Amino acid sequence: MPAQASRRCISCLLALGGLCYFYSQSRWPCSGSLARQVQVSLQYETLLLSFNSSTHPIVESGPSVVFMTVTMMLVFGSAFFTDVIGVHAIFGSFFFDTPQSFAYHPNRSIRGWNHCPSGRRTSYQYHGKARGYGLDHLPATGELYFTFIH
Amino acid sequence: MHSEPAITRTAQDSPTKSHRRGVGWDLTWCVKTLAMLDITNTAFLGPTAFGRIPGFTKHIFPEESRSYLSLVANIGLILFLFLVGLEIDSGVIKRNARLSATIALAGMILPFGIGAGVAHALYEKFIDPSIKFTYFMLFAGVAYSITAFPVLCRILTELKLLDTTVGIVVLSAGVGNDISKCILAHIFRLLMNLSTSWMDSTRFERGPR
Repeated sequence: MPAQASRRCISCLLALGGLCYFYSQSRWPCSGSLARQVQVSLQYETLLLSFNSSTHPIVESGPSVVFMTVTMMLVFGSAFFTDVIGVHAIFGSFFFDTPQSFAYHPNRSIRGWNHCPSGRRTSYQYHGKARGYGLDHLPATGELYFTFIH
Repeated sequence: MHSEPAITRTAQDSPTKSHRRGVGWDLTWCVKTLAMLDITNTAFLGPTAFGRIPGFTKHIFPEESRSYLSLVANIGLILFLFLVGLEIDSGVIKRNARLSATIALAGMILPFGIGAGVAHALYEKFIDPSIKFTYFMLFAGVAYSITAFPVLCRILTELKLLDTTVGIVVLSAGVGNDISKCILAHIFRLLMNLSTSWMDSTRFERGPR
């Protein structure tokens, strides 16, 4: 009985933490004051700005290795927590809220587009946001490339 | 089965990919998206067609490698869904929230009713009467009302509908649908566990230590 009870306690704690984390990273606004506090305190944007602005501005050069590492860790952490609370892991990564001004760089470096300096950049620059080009150069679902090169 | 894991992984990769490419060139005139082709081709890799080759399943897809295969597939899915989430403008979702909620509700209720009807017919013919009908009906209804969210994403990205309002409305409806499906499936599992533990109380008391 103690083993079962402790297991239940641990899973409840994990689920609570996962829910907090999920809501803090979600792109849906949350109205509860506690959740709002968590959301403000876990601001991804300020975290990444503190990583980037001191060394080199992210807008001009590509993403730094630290930037991509932190992003990937947060994405997989979010996916882990949604998996733990019982929803499938993909929703954690889908709802992971990246600021629109930063979204371009993980997009490029996960797909390995940092190898071609001029290609695939134009519509982003014209529209000024991280959407507007399709996923047409994506080979297949499982064939995403990791290149942390900038 | 004693072999190198990397070799097994490569051996799993090559029939999947070459099969997909080879058939994909021939069938693009009638099947418009590669996602649909992938579904049919992976069905061929199972016991329907390729599994009938003697030793194929035992050597290419052995039992102990399947969890790792699904792990690799999940990593790919997580990255892909992250990229799709990056491309979506959250303002469009907020503007069309009511519309997509309506679509999600309609897309759940109608297939759930059809699934419940089919479940009634199936229960009379095939199912063991020790299983309660309500549980089986819930199971069949959930199974019918599933939206495969990653497949939906792949189809939308291949048809380049992700930038349009239609694509985003369908996608957010699919998200709501899929999350409620997950919750329903968990309720279903919970119900089944509770019923078994109520029926034989000894099993509940013994438990895993």
